[in-house]
Formats: sequence, structure tokens, C-alpha cells
Amino acid sequence: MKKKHRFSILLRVSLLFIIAALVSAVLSLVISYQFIINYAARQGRDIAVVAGLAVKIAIGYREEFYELFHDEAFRREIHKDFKYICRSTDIQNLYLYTIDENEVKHDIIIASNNDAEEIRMNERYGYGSGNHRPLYEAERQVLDGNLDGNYELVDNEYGKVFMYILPLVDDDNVLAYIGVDFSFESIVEIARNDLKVGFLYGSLILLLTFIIAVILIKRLVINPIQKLSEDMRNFAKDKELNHEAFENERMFEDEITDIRSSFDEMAIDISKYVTDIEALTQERVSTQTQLDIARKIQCGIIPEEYAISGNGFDIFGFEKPAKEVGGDFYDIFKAYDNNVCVAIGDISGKGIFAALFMVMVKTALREKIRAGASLSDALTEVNRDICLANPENMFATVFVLLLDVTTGKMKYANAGHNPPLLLSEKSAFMEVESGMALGLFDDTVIEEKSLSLKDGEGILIYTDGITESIDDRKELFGEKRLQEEADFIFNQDREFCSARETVIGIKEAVNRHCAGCEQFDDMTCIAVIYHKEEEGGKELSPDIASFKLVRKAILGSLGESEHTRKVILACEEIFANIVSYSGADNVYFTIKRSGDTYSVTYSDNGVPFDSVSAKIQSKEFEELDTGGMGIMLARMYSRDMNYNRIGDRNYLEMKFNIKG
Amino acid sequence: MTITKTINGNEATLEFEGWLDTQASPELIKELDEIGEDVHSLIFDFTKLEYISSSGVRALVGAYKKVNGALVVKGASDGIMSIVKATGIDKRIRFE
Repeated sequence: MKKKHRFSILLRVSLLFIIAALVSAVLSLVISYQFIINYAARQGRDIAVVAGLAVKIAIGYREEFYELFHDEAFRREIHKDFKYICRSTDIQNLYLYTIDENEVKHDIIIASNNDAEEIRMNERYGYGSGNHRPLYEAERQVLDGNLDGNYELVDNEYGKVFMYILPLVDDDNVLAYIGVDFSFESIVEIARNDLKVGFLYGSLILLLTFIIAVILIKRLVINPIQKLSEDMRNFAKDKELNHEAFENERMFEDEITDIRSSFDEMAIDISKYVTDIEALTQERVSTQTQLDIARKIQCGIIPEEYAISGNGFDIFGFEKPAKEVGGDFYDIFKAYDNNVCVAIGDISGKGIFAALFMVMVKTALREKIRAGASLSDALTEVNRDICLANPENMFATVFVLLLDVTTGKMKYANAGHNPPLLLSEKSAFMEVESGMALGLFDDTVIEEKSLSLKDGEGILIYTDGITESIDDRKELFGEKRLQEEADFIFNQDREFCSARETVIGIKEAVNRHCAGCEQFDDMTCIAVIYHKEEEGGKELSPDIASFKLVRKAILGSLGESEHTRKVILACEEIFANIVSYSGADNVYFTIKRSGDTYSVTYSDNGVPFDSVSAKIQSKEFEELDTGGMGIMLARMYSRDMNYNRIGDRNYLEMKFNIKG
Repeated sequence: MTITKTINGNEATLEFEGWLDTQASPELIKELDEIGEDVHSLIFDFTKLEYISSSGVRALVGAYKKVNGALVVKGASDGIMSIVKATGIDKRIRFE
């Protein structure tokens, strides 16, 4: 913003006053000039009248007046009177004269307040002498019949002179003329003195008025406005109000009090809003911090993906926390003997409490099941434990299952969680008792059921984040869609559909459904697939086409990646060798996972061949197309290879790292 | 595995998509056999190839011999290149 010069209102008002004072001084000077002229004229007239009266009293009647021309003693007497008048006033000259028919002036008496001047004039215009000085306008007017007398400003040998001419009249006959001369200078001098005094008093009064006005304006207008402006500036800077300043200290209501009260209201409102916003922001920040911590707890404890598989089972779990973390959890672990345990749960509420509650439920459950408790006992006990210390009245829905991987027998218990989906030729929701969520009532008893999975069947468990994810038209993904999608994915290639493929397939279906929409709740999904363990692993026909089963198994358990392709390459090269050179008529393969090791074992009834120690001759480029580099690649891409010949079978085990 | 073949005078371009594994390599050999004697140079586009096994590598060597070395392979991924380098054929076949 351009910086503007600051002119306070007071300064501007003062300047206006000064300008007004100057203008009025000039105006009064102009008016005074006119006043001076009028004053001189009035005085001239008064003196001329007095002088005329003196003459009239002295002469008595007309005949005697004419004797005046001849009686010198009489003239001297009148001259004395004239002189007296001159001396006692500011008149310069007082004179009596006539004008004859030829417009020639004849002086009779000339008196002056200056003796030297009077003598000089008498010598020049002595008694009776006629002179042809042109008639003044005032004299002309008398000749024209205006007998009231008149004044005129003339410039003659005496300088600027103000002259008043009054005819001496008797019965409408003009006997003579009486002239009164004032020096204009002396009039101006008088007026100037008067004006000086006038100006002095005027200025004093003006100044006094000005001071009073300024004080009043300052008190009534400027001060409140300044205070208001200061308050506004402070308020704009600090967004805080000194509330005392808001008390109404004025006697009357006016525009300023209106502004003041409007500003006060506004400022109070703004302060309130600011406080509200600050509080709101603070609350938001603390909520956000809480959610962040909760999210870290959840993400740290629940891996995004987790898989275990082995002879007879293949389990894959997946969780995607929502932006604002909820409290989904899942747990997959080997419980005891041949049993693997899978648990899934959803905690009510969000934030740190939900996250800690989740950790408590998950840890307690695992601990009890590992200790050998039945699912029913484990859930019932966990419920009782958490009911003892649950100040936030949280609750958790949990579904837990225990699978005997050697028999396919599965025990399960439900504490208020969504029903699981049985993955089979015709996948459908299981009829399970809903049970009571954990944390609500301390006397809840959770029941346990059992089910036998057939070879290739599985269980899909999930949280409501899956079924309740919505698309842009607020349509739920829903149980029906989940069932259809799962059934389709699972039966697409029934021979070897992995738990990973099933779960990832459902995740993608949900993503397709709610494309671009925000995820509101955590999504968790686990698939458990049971494969009846076969003696020596899964049978493959000795044909390179059957390698696709191996490939699917590896992809299913490791997922698609560059590393997985290397594992597949090694397995393919060995299998191609078996098919091409061993003459075997049956081949089995088994996959095992243990820690970070992934192992694939082939067993075949072909001729003995030890791929591990067989010498591979390095070939020239031209001979590369004749074979031999397959084993080299298998050795290169496996971490470890073991060969055993047991009975009439070759056993070749290849070990890989699970991660690249 | 799909192979798209374009013949332009003496030059044939083969575009590969998918997995060139033991099962798919015979397809490549068959494709090569079908190319007439008037084709003198080959361009293999590996941009969409995801996987190659030793049989695939052997088929590449066969193709190289068929056109007396006038074979150029383009767009091979890092994963494919690491296998190719392991076999040593990159010393003779031109990979771009």
C-alpha cells in the first residue's frame, strides 16, 4: 500500500480556521475602507453644517451676507470661528466661497489649521479673487439643484484630499459654498488606529473562539476518534481488547458513539471467534496427534500383509488402515502342535484408546491360545479381563479360528464379529452364532464350534471396512458382492488358488468399487486355505506344461516381483531338466516356508542326476543353444541347493530368501 | 506369451509380450522357421517381455545364427538383462 502523508483532523481543522480568519481580515479591510470614506463624509458634513450655521448666525439675513464681502471686521470674526473649528477638529481647511454665473469661484474666507498654509493660500486666493478652477462634481451637483451637499476625493497640490462641499442656502437660494478639506492621510491614520484596536480585539476574540472551538472539537470529536482509531489499530495488531476502554464515557449519543458501539460489538464478536477458532484448532491438533499416535501403534503392530503357508495350509492376511485410524486387527500364528490360529477383530471407537485396547485384546488372546486354552475359554477370559479395566467402555468384535493343518479340522468362536465366508465350489456365508462383543458384559460366555474343511476349501474373514466401503453414490460394497467376488476369484482357477490371490482379488474388487472415494474405515481381510497334505507333496505330470502349477504356487505365496521371477526361473530350469532328461514318470513338489527361507523340493523317479555337483562345461557361444545353462541359472538364483537319492527317487531341494 | 511379427522387406520385427519360458520357446522357434529366406535382419522388441528362461535364451542364439548375427534386441528390462548377462550372450548379441 502506498504510504500516505498523515494529516490529523485537528491539524486540518486548525488550518481551516486560519484560512477563514485571513479571508475575514481581507473582507473587513475592504469593508473598513468604505467605512472610512463614509466616516469622513459624515464628519465633513457635520463640520460643514456647523461652519455654515456659524456663518448664518453671524450674518443673520441675506443683505448682511452680501456685506460680508465688504466688511473686513465681520469676515475676520467668521474667520476666527472657522479657524477655531479647524483647530479643534482634524479638518485641514475650511473655506467659504461663491460661484458666479460664469462658474468663476470667488473666495471669501479661507481658514486652515496650519497658519503658514493659511497665509500662503490667502496670498494666492485672497478675498474676492476669482479663479477659474474647474468645478468639482460636488459643486456641479449643487448647481444642478441638489442642495444636500456632497463629498469628493480629489488629488490636488495638497495631495489626496477628501473634500466636502455644502451650499449655504437661504430660501432655496444658494448664497455661498462652504468647503471642508480633510487630508485623506489623516483620515486613514485615524481609521488605521481604530482598525488596529478593532483588529486587536477582533483577533483576541477570534483566538479565544478558536481555542474554545479546538478544545471542544478535541474533546468531543478528536479524542474519541483518536481513542477509537488507537483501539482499532491495537485490535488489528493483537486481536485483543482492553475491555475497560469500551466503557461508554460520553454523555450524549452521537455518530461517534454509534461507531464506537458498533466497533465494540464487532471486536467482541471477532475476539470470540478468534478464541473459538483457536480452541477448535487446538482440539483438532490434539485429536490429530492422538490419531497419528494411534495409527503408529496400529501400523507398528499389525503388518500390512502377513502370510504363512506350509504343508496343508496357506494363509494370507491384509490390513489397510483408514486415514483416521480405527482399531482393526488380525493375527496369524502357529498355536501348538499342528494348529495354526487366525484371529480378526474390530475395536469400537478411534484414537489412542482404541489402539491400546486393540493391542490388549490381541496380545491377551494370542497368549491364552498359545498356552493351550480352548477358543471359548480364551475369548471368555479375555472378555472378563478387559471388562475389569475398560474406563472408556470400548468393545471389540472378534472372530478366531484354529485349524489343524493335518486334518483340516477347524474350531472357531465368534464374539459379535461379521460371519465368515466358506470358500468352496460354491462359496457362501457360514451360519455362525453372532455371540457377544468383548468388553460389554463381564459374564459373557463365548461358545466354540467346529467344522471340517475339505481339501482345497477355505475360510475368508474380514471386517466391516470391506463390506461397508462405499462408492461415490454411497452404495455399500455389501455382503452379496463380497460373496460373489470371493466365489469368482476362488473358483477361477480352482487347482491352485492361493490365499494371497483371494485376498488381493477382493482388495482390488473393493478398490474398483470405491474408486477415488475416501476410505472411512480400516479394511482387513484374511483367507485361510486348507490343502490336504499329500505324501511327498503335490503330484505333477512329467510334462513341461504342468510347471504352471508350480509357478502359480510360487506366485501365490510370494507375490509378483522381480525376485519371485528369479525363484520361478530356477524352479523352471530344474523341472525342465527333470522332464527332458530324467525319464521320470512321476514328479512331486513341495513348498515350505520357514523364517525367511522359502524352499521348493522336487522328487522324481527318474535316473539319478545330481544337479548340485554335476559339472557344467563352459561352452562357446555357438554351442549355447544346445543346453546346459539351465542348471547354471538355477544355481545362480537359488541361495542353496541340496540333492539326495533315496531309494529310486531323486530329491532336489532349492532354498531361496523370501524377500529379494 | 504372444509374438507379433511385422515384416518390412528384408527386416522382420518381433514384438514379445508375457513369459518366454520353456513352454513358450518352441513358439518362437516356430515363428523363426516361418520367416522366409529373404529376411536378413531381425529386431526383437522385449519391452513387454516379463520373463525369459534358458530355453528362451537358446532360441535367441538360434535366431542370431539364422540371420548371421544381424539381430538386435530392444527394450529388455533390468530383470531380463541380468539373466542375459548371466548366460553371456550379451557379448555377441546386440542389446539396445
